[in-house]
Amino acid sequence: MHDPNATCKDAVFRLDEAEILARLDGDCQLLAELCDMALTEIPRMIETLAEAVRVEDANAVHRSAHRLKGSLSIFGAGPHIEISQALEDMALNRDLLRAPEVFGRLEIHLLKFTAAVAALGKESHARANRR
Amino acid sequence: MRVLIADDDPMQRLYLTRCLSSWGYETLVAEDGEEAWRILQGNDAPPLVLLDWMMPGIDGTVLCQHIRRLKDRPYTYIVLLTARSDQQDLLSGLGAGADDYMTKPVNTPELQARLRSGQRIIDLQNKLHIAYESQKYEATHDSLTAIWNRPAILDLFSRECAKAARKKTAIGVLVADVDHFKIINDQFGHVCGDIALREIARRMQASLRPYDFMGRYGGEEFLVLVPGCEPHAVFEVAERIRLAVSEQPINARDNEITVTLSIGVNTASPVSVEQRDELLHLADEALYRAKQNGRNRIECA
Repeated sequence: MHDPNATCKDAVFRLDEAEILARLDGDCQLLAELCDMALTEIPRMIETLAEAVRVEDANAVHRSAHRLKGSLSIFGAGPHIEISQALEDMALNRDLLRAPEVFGRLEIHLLKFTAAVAALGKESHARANRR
Repeated sequence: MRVLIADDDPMQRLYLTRCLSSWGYETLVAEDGEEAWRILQGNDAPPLVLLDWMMPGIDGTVLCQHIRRLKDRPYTYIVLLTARSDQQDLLSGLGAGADDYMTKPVNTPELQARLRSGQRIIDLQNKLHIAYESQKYEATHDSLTAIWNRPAILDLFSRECAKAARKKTAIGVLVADVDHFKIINDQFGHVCGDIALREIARRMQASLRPYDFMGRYGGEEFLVLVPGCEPHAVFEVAERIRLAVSEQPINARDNEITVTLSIGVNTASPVSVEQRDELLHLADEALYRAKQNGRNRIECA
C-alpha cells in the first residue's frame, strides 16, 4: 500500500508492465495506444482539476478527480490513484480546505507517472512492431 | 452483437472499444449519459450496454432505471462499470437494474467472459420472445385460414363495442356462412374443402378496409366487424364480400368449385359492451333468413 502523504520527489515511479499487460490480455499494441492517449489526455485532465481546485468548485473537483482516477487506473495502482481518491472524497464531503496542498502532491506524482507512461509507451510500440 | 459503451473517459472508451472490436462485437460509443439515453431509446438500440457509473448528464444508475422503464422492448443487458467497490454500491447498482457489475480497472479476460454470459442471456431472451410471439399468434389465429379465431374475434368485438359506445359511433356486424359447404366436402373431399375455406377467407379479407376485423366464427362461418359505419355502408361491405367470394369459382386440386355466401347484417349506434351478444344474435337471425330466402344473399336485422 502506498502512503499518499509521503513526499517522493526523488523516488522513481515504475509501472508494473507485466500486471498491466496481463489485464490487457497481452495486447502490446493496445497498451502502446493507451500510453499515447494518456500522454495527451492526462495533462488536460490535470488542467481541469487544477482549475476546479482553484475556484473551490466541489462538484467539479469531484467529477475531475474521479475521471482522472479512472484513466490512471488503467495503468494499475499507485500513489497518484490514492491521492486522486483523496481529492474525490474531499470534494464529496464538501471540504476543500486541504485540496490545494493535496493537488500539489498529486502533480508531483503525476510527473513521475507521466515519465513512466512515456517509457512504457515507447517500449510497447517497439514490442508491438516486432510482432 | 452490438454493444453500447457509455463512458466519459476517452481512455476507457479507447480501451473498451478496442477490446470489444477485437472480440467481434460491433461497438457504439456515448460520451455521456444523455447521449447513451438517446441511443438506447432508438429503434435500433443495442441489446448489450457497458455503462460507466459516474457520467455527466445522466449517471449510470439513473440510466439503468430509465432503461428498465422502457416497455415493449427487447431486453437490454447492462454491465455497470465503476471505480466503486463496496457492497452498498454493488447493491444499489444491481437494485437500479444492472445485470452485472465490474470494478475498474477492468480485467480484460474477465470482461470478455462477462460479455459472453450477457450474450447468452440476450440470446435466451430473444428465443423466449420469439416463442412468446408465436404462442400468442397461435392462440389468437385460426390455423387453417390465418384469420382471427373465435375467442380472438369475440374479444375484438367487445373492444370495438366499448369503443363505439365511447365515441358514440356505429358498428356493423356481419355473420357469413358458406352455402352448402357439406356438399363441397362430400363431393370434393376435405382437403379441397380446406382449400376452399382458405380462399374464401382470403377473398373476404381482401374486400375489407384495413381497420375492419374478420374471424372464423365456426366451421364454415365467419364474423366480420365493420366499425364506424352506417347501415347502408355496412350493407355495401357485405355485398362486396358476397360478390368477391362468388364471382369466380375456386380452384382446388384441379376442381372448379363454385362457392356462395349467405350473410346476416346488423348495425347499432351507439352500443355498449353488454349489447354485444344481442347485436350478434340479431345478425345470426338475419343470416338464418338469408338461408331461408334462397342463400347467396344478404339480409339485414
